[in-house]
Amino acid sequence: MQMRSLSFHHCVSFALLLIAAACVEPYNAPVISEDKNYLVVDGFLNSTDRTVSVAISRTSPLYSENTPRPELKALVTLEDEEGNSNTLEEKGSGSYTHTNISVDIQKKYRIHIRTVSREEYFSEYVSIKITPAIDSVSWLPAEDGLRFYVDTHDPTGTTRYYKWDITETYEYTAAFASIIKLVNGQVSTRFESEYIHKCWKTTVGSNILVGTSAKLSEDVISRFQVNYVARGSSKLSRRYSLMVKQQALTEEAYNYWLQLEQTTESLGGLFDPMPTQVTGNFYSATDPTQPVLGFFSGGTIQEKRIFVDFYDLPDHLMIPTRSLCEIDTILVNEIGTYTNATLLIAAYGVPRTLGYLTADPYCIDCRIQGGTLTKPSFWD
Amino acid sequence: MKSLYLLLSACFCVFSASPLSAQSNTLINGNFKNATFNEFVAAVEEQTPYRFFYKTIWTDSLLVNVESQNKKLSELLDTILAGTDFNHAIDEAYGVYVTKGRKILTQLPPGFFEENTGTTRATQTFDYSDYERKEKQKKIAEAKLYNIGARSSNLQGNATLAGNIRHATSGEPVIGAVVFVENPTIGISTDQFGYYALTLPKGRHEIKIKSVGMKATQRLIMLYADGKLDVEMDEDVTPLKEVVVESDQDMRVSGVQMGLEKLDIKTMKQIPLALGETDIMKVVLTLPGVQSVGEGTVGLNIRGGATNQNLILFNDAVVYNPSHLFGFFSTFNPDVLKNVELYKSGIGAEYGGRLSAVLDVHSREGNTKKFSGSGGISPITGRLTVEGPIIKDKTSFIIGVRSTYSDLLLNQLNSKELKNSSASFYDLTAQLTHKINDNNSLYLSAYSSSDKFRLNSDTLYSYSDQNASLKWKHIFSNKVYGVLTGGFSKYSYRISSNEFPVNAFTMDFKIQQLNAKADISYFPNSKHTINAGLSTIRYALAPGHLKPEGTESLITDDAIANEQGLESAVYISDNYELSAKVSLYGGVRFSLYQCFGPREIYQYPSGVPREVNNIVDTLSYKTGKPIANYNGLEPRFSVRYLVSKNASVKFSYNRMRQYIQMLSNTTAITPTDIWKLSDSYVKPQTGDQFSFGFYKNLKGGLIEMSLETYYKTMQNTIDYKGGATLLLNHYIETDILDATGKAYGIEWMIKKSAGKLNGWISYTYSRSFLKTKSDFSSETVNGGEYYPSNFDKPHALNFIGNYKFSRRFNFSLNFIYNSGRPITLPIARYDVAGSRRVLYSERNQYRIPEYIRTDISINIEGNHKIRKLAHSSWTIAVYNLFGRANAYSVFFVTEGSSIKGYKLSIFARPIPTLTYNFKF
Repeated sequence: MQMRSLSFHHCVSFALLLIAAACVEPYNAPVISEDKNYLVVDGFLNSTDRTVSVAISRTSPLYSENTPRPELKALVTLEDEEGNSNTLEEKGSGSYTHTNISVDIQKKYRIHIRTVSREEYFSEYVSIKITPAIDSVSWLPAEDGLRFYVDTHDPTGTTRYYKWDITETYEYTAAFASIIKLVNGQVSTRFESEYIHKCWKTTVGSNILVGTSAKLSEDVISRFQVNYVARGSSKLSRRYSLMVKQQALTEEAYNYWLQLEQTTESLGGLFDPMPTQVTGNFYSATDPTQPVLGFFSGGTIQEKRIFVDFYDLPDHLMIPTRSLCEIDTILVNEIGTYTNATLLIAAYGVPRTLGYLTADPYCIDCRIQGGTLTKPSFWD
Repeated sequence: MKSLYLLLSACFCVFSASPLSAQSNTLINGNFKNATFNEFVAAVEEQTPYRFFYKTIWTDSLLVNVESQNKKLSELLDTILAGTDFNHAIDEAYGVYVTKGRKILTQLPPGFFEENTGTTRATQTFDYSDYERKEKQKKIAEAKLYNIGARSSNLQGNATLAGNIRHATSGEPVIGAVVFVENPTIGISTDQFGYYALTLPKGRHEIKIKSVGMKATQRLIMLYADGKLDVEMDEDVTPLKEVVVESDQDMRVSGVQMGLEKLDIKTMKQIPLALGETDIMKVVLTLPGVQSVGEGTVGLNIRGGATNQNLILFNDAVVYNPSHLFGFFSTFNPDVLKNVELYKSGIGAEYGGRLSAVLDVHSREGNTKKFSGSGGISPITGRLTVEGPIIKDKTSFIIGVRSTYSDLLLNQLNSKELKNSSASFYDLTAQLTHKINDNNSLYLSAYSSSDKFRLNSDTLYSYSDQNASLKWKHIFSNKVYGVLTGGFSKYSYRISSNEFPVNAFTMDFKIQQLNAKADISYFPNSKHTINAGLSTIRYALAPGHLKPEGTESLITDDAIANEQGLESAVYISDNYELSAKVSLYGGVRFSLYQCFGPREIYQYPSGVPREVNNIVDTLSYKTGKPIANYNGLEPRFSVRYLVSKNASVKFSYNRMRQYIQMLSNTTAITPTDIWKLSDSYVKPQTGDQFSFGFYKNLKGGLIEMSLETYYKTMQNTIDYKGGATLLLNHYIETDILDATGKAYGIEWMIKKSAGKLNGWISYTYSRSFLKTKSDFSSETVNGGEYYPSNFDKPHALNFIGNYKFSRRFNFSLNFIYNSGRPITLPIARYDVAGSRRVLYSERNQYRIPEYIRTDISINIEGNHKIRKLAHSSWTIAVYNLFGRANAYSVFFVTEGSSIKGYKLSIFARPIPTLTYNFKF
């Protein structure tokens, strides 16, 4: 059961509709100038490939657009309860890893960090959670889009807490396929290897997805919604693929992610739980009052990928992507005044070429929409 | 010209004085210098036919110094007796009676033989209009002398007069009417049954009766011994030009009670409100010292107390959830209501069980004379009330229903969000009153409500509130009466979902209480009013039961153990008029509480944080076996000192104890909050409040001013760990924290209760803080320091104004200003697991923007003919006239790679409503 279904934040939106007079406006909080400089650690010990990776950074001011400040030159070690330790290697930009560790899934592990400023940080000892396989990733059409679900179960009944991460990849095309190109005023054929019409784009889901079967008699997760794609989205225009990674969590880790989700993703109505400082399982040995953010956990990862073709969609979702692109023309004798940045679609005029069709680059080069021309290895 | 005037007036004198001065020898001539009264009497009796009757012992020290040239005896006696407590009376047989203290009437009052002449009056052909007839009856009743008790010559000592004050047309009791005599000043206000008892010196008195919205009346009585006097009062059908809204003006200054706000339904109906319906909770919110966390929530925070620290009583039955539709409506049907009393401080010993305040709501009694009804139609709700006698003047009923057609409305709104949403509620209120005889009355009251809603999902929420009470009032004697009350309250909710068969579930919560109490009021003499009583409440709580729904469901049956408790109390209090200036109230309540099995209690070792991992043992308690016992004294004390006739200062102290609490870590109360009884881990809450006030009436009570300050401390109140889980938590004691609270404030109010323009302005400065205490940092909030509570809004300014252009046209304006409530804001951002997150500040360190709102309403009444089929009125109201987008909440979300702050406002634009009300 999703405990979220018991939360109450729809009320506000309901009231909003009932009265039809509510509104949501952007709000700029009073300038919070204090620059808190807390440590943020994100660590995972993968017992399948026997690697441990830890990313360490510092908090930034709320409205800062800069990338987080990485914590450099820290001494990071993985320690087990018996005092064995492995020192992680710094990979730059706050990332530390160690491969080929002998992981004993019976043991508990922790991360120990000593920063350059000689501050000591520890995580709690965590146990290694083995993740059961994903039974299926499926999709169901809804009125206004596609919903994706994950199903899993653990016959031993020991997993109970789950976290999912999703990665979407989809194939799409620009509005117009270009078969000619303009190079230094000369028009020539665009070969297939140079096509800029079809792209693949990959995005990593940023929402926290956690679920539990703690209230069920069996350790079964049934139809947990992991993603939603609105109808008419370019994601569904040709072929769409969803990769779901599943990770078993300890109860503490589940509570951490759930709280993080509730405080940073929910709507903030009066019926939502009040936001709180969500810290994780790290603490500062130097200054215990200082919050340390982030979580360290260990275990295995299971993954499963599905594909959805445009032609698999039910009729009401099978709508082509709307495009606002318009075609323009360039006469042959004017082509010399255009630069290489102008993208051409094709020539017109038979038998003698009169001119060339062109459009905004956005309508011709699919990469402008964020994808790459390289077909992913898993695409067939 | 001037001389002519004198002449004329002299003539008038002669004629008007004719009955007694027809004989010239009744005029007295003589010079008395330091003469004894006896000498004066001898001289008069010699000159005139007058004969004196008096007690020589009384008058032996009285010296007479008058000069008389053809003066009348009455004039002379007026001069002689001026400044003494002697009275004189002269009858037609020239008897002169000199009495001490009381005056003798020498004529029978008009109407003395009324009973005998009743038959002849009935045959009169003159057709009085309703109004005139009432006026005449009233005049007759006021002029008539009522003999109380068996006639006797012994007029020494005191006797008690008691009775009921009732509404002349509906027979309803008039609550809070002031019954008083002016000399000596003795007065009392009627209780919730309209009952009063007044101890007076035996003899003749003029009893005056005043009440809000009723015509003041009076009765002449001759009090021989203890006896009864029931009085019927007429409603104040004010003439077109005059508008008088009276209140208990005298009580505010002269009563010993402080921190009391009384509102009757008439006042409440004038205040403009959103959604087209009078809502007592919203009106109460405009009073000083009362706040809520936001618009559209019903929870009241009174003087820095949490919402669950208010005892909400409806006809003596406890109301657990006073809201419909998430708090946009309160559960009280305005047509059935009579009045509401809010006690913020100086809470009497008869009330107990909650820390902060008492909101005592009374419904009306049905009309005992004729059938009538009323109702209203607004954009969201419809309501109908019917009342009438079952046995005329003995048994009456009132029944009111209210429902919403919001479902219909929702279906009309063509929104995809609402495709799968629904919301509806209804409530039913009924009261039956039966007068067995003069000394025994029965009152049966019942309430039932139900709410259902579904919000763009397959999860259905439903909740219902039911309560009933039966009261038996018995008058033992004029000085003693008792009330026996039995009551029942139940609140339950259910959440269910069947979206996916595997996860289909229902979740139930239920709280139930049975209570009984006996109260006795004793009026030993005019100086004391003694109240005493005992009560007991049996609680039964089912704090959560998750069940699978359907055969495919894999949900495990999971029930949180039921909780049982018994709360009993005994109290006694005395209201004592020490002197004309000083009045005291002292009371003490002793409450004891027991939480008992069957239940299992987890044991946590001391010295470590209370966490699930630290459980060392589980104790199993058998049925009825006590788990925890608590008891304590709750002293209550008030004093009033009358600085002048129109000003007083008051001080009060009260301690309260609370054994049941609501657990909620959302900002506003929701229907799915749970209640919890005190047990081994959750200690009973205690609160102490000191309050000091200054009260002044200006312009003969037309303008009332009050200034009250308070300081309050609270022990063992509830706070929560960050991210606490409250629903279906078997280890709830590990998520809740023991907190202490303090609150203080100053409330100023100026109120004009009468005149074309009436209303009030109030300003409150108040603070409210909480602090958690623990040896472990995981069990503290904000490092164990005091921090502002969710409802700490320092400044609050309210203006409620009402202007009557004419009897049919009435304009009202509200203006509300509040500081923003405290919130926890993000102070930094960080990246974890590939996305951007925010770090929140310590709890409640920032505030949302301030709240400002202006509302208007116009009330148009139909014509004011008293006799017509149905009376109707239209109310046009605009809520939030200027459409200010007041922040309801502020929240931050991660959108892509950036953090966005949003402000949510509900009622972000003017909300006009049109309501049609009728009465038949």
